Amino acid sequence: MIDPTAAARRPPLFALEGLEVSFPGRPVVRGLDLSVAEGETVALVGESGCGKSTTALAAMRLLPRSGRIDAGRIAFEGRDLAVLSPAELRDLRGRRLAMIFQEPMTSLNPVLTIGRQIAEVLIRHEHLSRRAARARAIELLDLVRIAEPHRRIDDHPHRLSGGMRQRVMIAIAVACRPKLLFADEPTTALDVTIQAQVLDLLDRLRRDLGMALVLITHDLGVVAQYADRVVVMYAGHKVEEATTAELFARPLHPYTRGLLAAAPRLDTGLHHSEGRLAEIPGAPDGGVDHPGCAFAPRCPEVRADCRVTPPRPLAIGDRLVACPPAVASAPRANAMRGAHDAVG
Amino acid sequence: MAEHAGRAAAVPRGARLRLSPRLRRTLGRLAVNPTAWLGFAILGTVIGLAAFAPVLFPGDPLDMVAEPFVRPFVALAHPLGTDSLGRDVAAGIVHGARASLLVGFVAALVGTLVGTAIGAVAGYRGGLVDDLLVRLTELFQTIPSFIFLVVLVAIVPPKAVWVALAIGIVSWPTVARLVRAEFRSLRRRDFVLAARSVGHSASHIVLREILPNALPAIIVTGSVMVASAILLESALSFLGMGDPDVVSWGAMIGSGREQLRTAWYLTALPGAAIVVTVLALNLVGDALNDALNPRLEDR
Repeated sequence: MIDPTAAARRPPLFALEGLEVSFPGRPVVRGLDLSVAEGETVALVGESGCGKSTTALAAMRLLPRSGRIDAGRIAFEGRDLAVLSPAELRDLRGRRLAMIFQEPMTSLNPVLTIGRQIAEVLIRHEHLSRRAARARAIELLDLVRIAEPHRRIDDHPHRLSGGMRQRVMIAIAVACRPKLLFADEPTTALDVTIQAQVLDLLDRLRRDLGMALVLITHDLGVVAQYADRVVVMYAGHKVEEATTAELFARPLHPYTRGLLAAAPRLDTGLHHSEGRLAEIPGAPDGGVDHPGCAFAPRCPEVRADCRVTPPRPLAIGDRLVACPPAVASAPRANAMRGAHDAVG
Repeated sequence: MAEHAGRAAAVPRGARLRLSPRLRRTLGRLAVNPTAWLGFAILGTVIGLAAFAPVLFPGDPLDMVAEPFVRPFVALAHPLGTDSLGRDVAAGIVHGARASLLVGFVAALVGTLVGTAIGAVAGYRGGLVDDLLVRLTELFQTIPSFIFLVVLVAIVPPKAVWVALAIGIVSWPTVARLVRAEFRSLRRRDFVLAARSVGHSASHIVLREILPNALPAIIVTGSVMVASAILLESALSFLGMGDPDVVSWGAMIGSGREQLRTAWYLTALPGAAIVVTVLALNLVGDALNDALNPRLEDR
């Protein structure tokens, strides 16, 4: 179905339409719609195993061999990536769309210098000479705020800290000024202090280079600070989509409310010795044995018909919620405050 | 003058020699390894003797130059004595080094190239291609390699180069299996996915991303393959299946074996040459293994 939140905006740079991805005997992404406008940061949120990373890999057509795109369009700059040939995809990857990964420790080639690894991308896509590519690599290292880039360029990855390696990964990803960057939990493996630096860097590059950012994370603090729009995924479905401000002020889907409640907060004054951290019992299981809502087995507000009827995503204003009971009981805008308190 | 030389030395060495930092580090680690020194010293001596054989012992080493059975260290003209036909043993050993090293290096090169190519394709592609190439490798491995070699040498002309090719053909499966295993594990690494995510092609990923990671293992195996090729060549020559126009250590042992009780040195001396050379190659292999292992890279 067409996503009304995107229709109200600029024409999307990138759109997933009804994306279905499966691994043998296990659907992972089910009918996902997602659109990203130029220069926008969209956060893809959900707990581990809900299909966030698979969505990004599928969008880049980088799924492992066992993974399959069963249906859907991957629209990017007027083309459908789902049907492009491998050669056409290779031409786009790294040039128009790029990706950075969760593990900076292993995502760089251990035996090649970082300068060489950055230069290879420039040689591949911009057909620079070795010398010119090296000069650009030094500029890129400077751009991602690595001190003394002309000396660091001949270092091997093992001489760099995790945060620096992730900066190098970012330099490789943005070397050819892509229009869209997928960042798959880019700071999960890093120290908290480094996380903020790396995210600030990504945000600055997004603005300076005019690229859109799809930020995959389970850290709601990161979402609140950097994302324009949030897509909450559960078991391969999009359960809620809203602007960041609206989502945090008035989460509608019970899963979103559970996620927000489960995030540790300083202002409630609760210490683990005084009260239990809120949690969502259970784990997302791919094989739901009823046709209804995938979250129903864990939902605190489950009703009988939730297990029978698949929840249709419903639009409220410019947001989407795939939970009819939540929409029916949604407080109007003047009741926002109350909904927020209910979460806190 | 001295000051001038000092200034020249102050130029960063990398800028002058244009060595990659990785190669420089590897050489640095080799330089402080006594095993490496010993191995390279012996190997260097053997290579030097082979290179200067026509200068050290001019003329055909297969010529009869003195009376037979001169024992070693008695005649200055023939320091290592003469064999049953009056041929100079020292000349034979020095000229034999040429045949052994030539065959050893050519065979190892052929075996390593063929094995690496097949192993890389099988390991990276996987699936049906991998199945077929593994079957092919197993087919070659199940044939007893020395028998296979004897058959090959019986077919091709008895020239040293053909013998080297034949040895390369019987020894590639070892390399192919090793390289396939390396590629299978390396292709699942994150950096391969990262390389794909920026649009690098399969050939770029195989040759420039994965191969450099597998190279240490390949180089080490290659150096040991030189040693085993020398042993195979010696065995062939011992059986009289080597190049009859070229003196070789194996052939010398073969022709000396009938005098084993009376003139033991005719087998012992070329045998010692084989032992020392093979030992040196194994020492070099060990030293390279230590020096090239990226997990030992200094921080």
